[in-house]
Amino acid sequence: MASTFFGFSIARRGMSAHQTALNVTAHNIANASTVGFSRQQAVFQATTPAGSATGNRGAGAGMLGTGVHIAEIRRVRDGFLDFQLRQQLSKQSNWQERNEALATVEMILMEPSDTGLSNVFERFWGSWQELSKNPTSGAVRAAVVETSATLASSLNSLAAQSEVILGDLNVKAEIAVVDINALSSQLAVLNEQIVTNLGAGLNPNDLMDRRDVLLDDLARIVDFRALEQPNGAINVAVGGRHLVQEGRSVPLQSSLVEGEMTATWPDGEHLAFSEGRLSGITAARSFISSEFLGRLNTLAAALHDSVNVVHALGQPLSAAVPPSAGADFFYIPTAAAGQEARHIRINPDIVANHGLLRAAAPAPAGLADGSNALAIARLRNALMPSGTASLEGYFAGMVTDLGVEAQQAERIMLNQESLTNQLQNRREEAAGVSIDEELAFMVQFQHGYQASARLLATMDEVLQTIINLGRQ
Amino acid sequence: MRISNATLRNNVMRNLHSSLREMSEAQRKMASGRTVNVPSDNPVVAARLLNLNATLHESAQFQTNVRDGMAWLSMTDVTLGAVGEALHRAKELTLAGANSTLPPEVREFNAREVDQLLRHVVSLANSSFDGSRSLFGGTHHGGLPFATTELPDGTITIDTLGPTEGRGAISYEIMRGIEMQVNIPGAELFQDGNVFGALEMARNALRATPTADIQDSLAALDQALSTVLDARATTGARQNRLEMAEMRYDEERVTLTALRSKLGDVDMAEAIMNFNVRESVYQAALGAAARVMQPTLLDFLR
Repeated sequence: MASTFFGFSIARRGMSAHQTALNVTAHNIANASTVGFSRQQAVFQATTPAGSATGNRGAGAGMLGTGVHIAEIRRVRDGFLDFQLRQQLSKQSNWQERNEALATVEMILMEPSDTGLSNVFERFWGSWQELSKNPTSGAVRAAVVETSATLASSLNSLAAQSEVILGDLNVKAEIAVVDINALSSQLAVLNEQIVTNLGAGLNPNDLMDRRDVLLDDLARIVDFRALEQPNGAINVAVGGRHLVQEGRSVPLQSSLVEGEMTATWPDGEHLAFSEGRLSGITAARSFISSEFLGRLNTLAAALHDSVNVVHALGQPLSAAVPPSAGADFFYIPTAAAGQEARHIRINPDIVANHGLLRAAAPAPAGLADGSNALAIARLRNALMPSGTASLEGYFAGMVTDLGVEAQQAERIMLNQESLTNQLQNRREEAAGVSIDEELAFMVQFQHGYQASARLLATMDEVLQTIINLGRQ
Repeated sequence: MRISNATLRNNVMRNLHSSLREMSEAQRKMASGRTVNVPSDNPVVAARLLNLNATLHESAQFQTNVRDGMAWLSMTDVTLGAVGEALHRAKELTLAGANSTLPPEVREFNAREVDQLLRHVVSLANSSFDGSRSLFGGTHHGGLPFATTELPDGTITIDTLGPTEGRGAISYEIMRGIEMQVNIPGAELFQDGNVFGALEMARNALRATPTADIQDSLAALDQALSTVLDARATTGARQNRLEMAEMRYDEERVTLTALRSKLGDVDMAEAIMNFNVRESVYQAALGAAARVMQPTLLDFLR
């Protein structure tokens, strides 16, 4: 036989459980817009029923329920989706980074347009054609020097701008390492707090949400493996080495290795990664420096070599100058090997004295001959000294390859974007707060609370009957 | 499927963004008028456009060369015509001098006129094209190609031009890899062709007391005339060739320009259509977003 006040405690528990549930609902609604927040659920559980299966139990219909309590407040979250999403986030920011860098190169290239390098090349060849027809005209000679100077400075500025882009990428890599360090130390702190709370039997839901946000952020920078430990800590390994282990994090360093900003572990080992922003930066940097700037240098060197060889064969307008004066048309300092495009210019002697332009074929041709200028103009369709393409063909190849690379980066980035969106939606589907749902719960819990309170009043009335019995 | 508020917001934002991106892409094409603004828009078309542009520039340059060549050749033709007239006049004067009844002083007048004709032919041989290049000077540079020396008797003699310079060819590239010589080297025409020589001979024969040399000088003048005629014929043939090349370049330019336009220019009607379609999609997305995000259960709870 249950005690007289038995029903009171059921009603009290009902009120208290519904009040807690209402508070959880309030927390959910308040965090409806919080990034990374997972909705929480108060889990109602019937309390242990009164009585037990022993021989001296009182006679009765069976075990009498004792009411309800909140067994746990848990967050609704699918850990596998997090894993999938982080992989895709890494890929997405990898291609996004590449796309941005390549789009910048496309912008400085300005092709196809009327102002790009290919047009400057056209004017260059055209001026030599004109010189071949008018080798003695000062105006035409000046035009050759002017268009050639434009060609050289276009190459200079393309190379300089690519170097600026490469420098920016280095800065980005450095910032990425700083970000990794900030994230890993925060992760270590959160790990510690979470382990402590879990040890005390508490569910640190909001701390875990914050940790998940940090892991998402980290995934955008670099790909990693997250290993959840039995005590609730999450260890993070990048390229097989622990970046975060329980409450400890390893700070990374960044240093310039052969002109490239590289992330290293404290002992000097290079950080290994295959996705994420860092990977995108590395890939873009190597494409720009070898496939773009490198080929620009090859182009400049080939222009220098082939024009100079032909130019040196000719004779200048005045026979009175020493034979070696102005033999080279283009000039690249010896120290500029590997940076030809950045440093190519016209022989300063020729700039000072246009008469040194060697338009005429060697003697016995007269000084008013233009066939050497024509020979230079015809280099337009000649193969480069080292390659299988003409100078312009080589440049067109560069433009096409850049276009293909940039197009691919953009396409993959857009694909990844929709993939991550889909996964994010699926995560939201489980973890996101729906105001309508919370409102429905609110009404339900409110009714539960009201009913429990009403029960208390009924119990009170019932007891009144007994108490009033003695008053007669 | 559970739809949370964040899902709704994400979807709405994503749809709006992708509509906006497409609109801005369509706008960029309309504003620039070009289908390919950066190589990644279409790498293949970008490469073809680069090649087409290069070909267009190259053939424009060749066409300029052809036109310059035609100007050079017609200038040569006119000048050679004048040389021919001078030779004819010299022949008339010499024929008149062949008449033995002519008084010696009249023959002397004729000789002086022939000397003037010689000076005229020298100045024609020294004429220049567009002020800077000598028409008949070959590759000679510095000073006139044919210098003269005044003789004590008031007539002139011609200094010879350097042996190779005066024979230097001036060639224009009129087609990829094909050069055409446009000049008639003066040393070949006027010296080897004995134009000056015939005139000098006629002048001297008219002055000599026995008129025996006159017959020889008439033959020389005939010879010189036919040399000049030959040169004019060569010039004419070259002019014909250049005219054909020029016509070809005109046609080529039309074809190539049409191709470039087809590849690289935006079809405005289509672009505007596309833009309008995207604009209405965007507006529909905005409308849908406004309606789906508006109501909550709150609106229906008392």
